[in-house]
Amino acid sequence: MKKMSRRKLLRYYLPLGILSFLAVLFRQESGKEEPELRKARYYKNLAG
Amino acid sequence: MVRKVQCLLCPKKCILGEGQRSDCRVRLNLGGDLKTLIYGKVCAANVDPIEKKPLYHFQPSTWAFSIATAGCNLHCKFCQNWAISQQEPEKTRNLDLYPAKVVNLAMERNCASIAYTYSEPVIFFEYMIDTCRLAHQKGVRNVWVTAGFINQEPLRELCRELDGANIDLKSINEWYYREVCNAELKPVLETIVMARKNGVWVELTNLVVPTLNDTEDDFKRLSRWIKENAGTEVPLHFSRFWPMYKLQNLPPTRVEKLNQAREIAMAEGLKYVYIGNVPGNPGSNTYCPECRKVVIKRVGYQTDASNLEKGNCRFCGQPIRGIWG
Repeated sequence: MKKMSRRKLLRYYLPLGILSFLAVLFRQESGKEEPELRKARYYKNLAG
Repeated sequence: MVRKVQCLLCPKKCILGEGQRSDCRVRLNLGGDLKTLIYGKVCAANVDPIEKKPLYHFQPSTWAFSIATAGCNLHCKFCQNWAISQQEPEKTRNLDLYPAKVVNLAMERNCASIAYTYSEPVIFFEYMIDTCRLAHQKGVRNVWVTAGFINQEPLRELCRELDGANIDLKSINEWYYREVCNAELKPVLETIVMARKNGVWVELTNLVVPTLNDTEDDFKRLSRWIKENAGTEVPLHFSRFWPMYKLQNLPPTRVEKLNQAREIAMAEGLKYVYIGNVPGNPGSNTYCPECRKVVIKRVGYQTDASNLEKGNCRFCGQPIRGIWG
């Protein structure tokens, strides 16, 4: 099998990898409609 | 410095040190802030007939989009939904259903109302009230199925968003609430009165548990309290107990016992008294309090309201109280 040149690797596959990573990250972020933990209501802080 | 907080949502008023959770398992002190762990974390979602709640005088034959999260502020030994109510939210399988999604799903599925039910909606108060507000904006009604164990201030706010409620009146005895349910009677009675005062359509359910709350005196005092504090037109459902959770040693309620409870409540003056969890029992029909004819016939969740005309008995014209439209 022909060995892939270092230049080809950097030129094509590295940007592709970065773009895929960013796409996954963006998808996860946009899927989050609400924060995980909401502040509750009807409580008071106690001293001490 | 210890940053303690006190939850004021329900009468338990849990005091929580940092990292501690409330008795209902779903409210956490995180750095001196109280957080809800279940906002939008739905562990049960179904489209149910409104009669299943049970609400018999509220938009009959319509669907209610019914949701619940894990957790409960009571610990009833007979709980039918203990697998979700007596559980931390991390241990149930949850869907992310935020308020807008719930309302959309309810509308897509042709539901006239959203029911907050199964476990105890008091404990998902923040999530419930946001969903209620959005539902009202879209013309969908809100139904609360609850043990009614909540403080007055949050209740007042909630009542503004509710259309109907089925409130459990589990017993008229303080000891029963304390020992069987790990709660108190008085706040529940106050909830019933306040919900009615604030214009919420209220129906009551009493689960009849053999040997624990099934004497003639229990039925009489319960009915009298309802008559004197909520009125004779509040529907009361006597529901059949089935051995469950920590009360598997007791037998199911005998149907004769339920019939007796119904007769006593009606003799005390209550107009609409029903028997639940006994399919086909004539005690699940609505009878006109004036001419005694069947106005709404029910078999299981099948409802025939053809003898109800614009909220009145078709035979004698007597108004039947409820939310019919």
